[in-house]
Amino acid sequence: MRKKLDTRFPAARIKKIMQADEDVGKIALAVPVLVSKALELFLQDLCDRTYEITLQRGAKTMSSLHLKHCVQSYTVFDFLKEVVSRVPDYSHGHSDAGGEDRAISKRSMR
Amino acid sequence: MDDNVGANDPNEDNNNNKEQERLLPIANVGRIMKQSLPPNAKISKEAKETMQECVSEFISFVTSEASDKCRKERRKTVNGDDFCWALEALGFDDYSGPIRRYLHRYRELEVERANQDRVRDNEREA
Repeated sequence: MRKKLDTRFPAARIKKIMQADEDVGKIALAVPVLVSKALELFLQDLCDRTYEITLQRGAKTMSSLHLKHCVQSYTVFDFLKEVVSRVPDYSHGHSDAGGEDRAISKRSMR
Repeated sequence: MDDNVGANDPNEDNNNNKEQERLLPIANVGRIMKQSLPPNAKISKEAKETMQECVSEFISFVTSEASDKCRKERRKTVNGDDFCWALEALGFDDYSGPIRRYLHRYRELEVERANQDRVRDNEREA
């Protein structure tokens, strides 16, 4: 009976994302398995810290705006600043044209 | 995530597929989020989608660092130790302990598996 380590995310997809970067060469078999585990820890971390903000605001539902503010609050999440820059600053992000314009103008302000 | 401004673009389907390929399944993302939070917590769809993007960004970020290290050391293959090193280098020290233990366990299982194969092959030959 072969034992397999429990992985939550599909290893093939992880590998594809890793190799989307042209500079990345071969990847040892163990690595996507480790990445999957690290992603669990990362998601838990990001989620916990975002939820603290949700509670502080007295909101019932975690929104992408809470996530955006979380990213802005911790330097370890600086690499996520561009991802969250697309989240509109008014509460409850619907992605409509107005929101996109604001995101674009925010980017050009840097 | 909705940045397909040209809605009449005939290539839109292709673009959507490419988008999906660089993301991990939202079901997995949502499941882990739910498990991290209290049972009564609610998560908006947009928050899940943004988390999905963050997860892919994390992969690229850490991989790039590990890959740079390999290149500097003239090695072609990114291995588990490189990944652990990159986590520490980028400030994710809290993750590197559990990941190193996980890597150790993975290697143990590899050795076990190789031994099982060897035993089975020997029995076959007899």
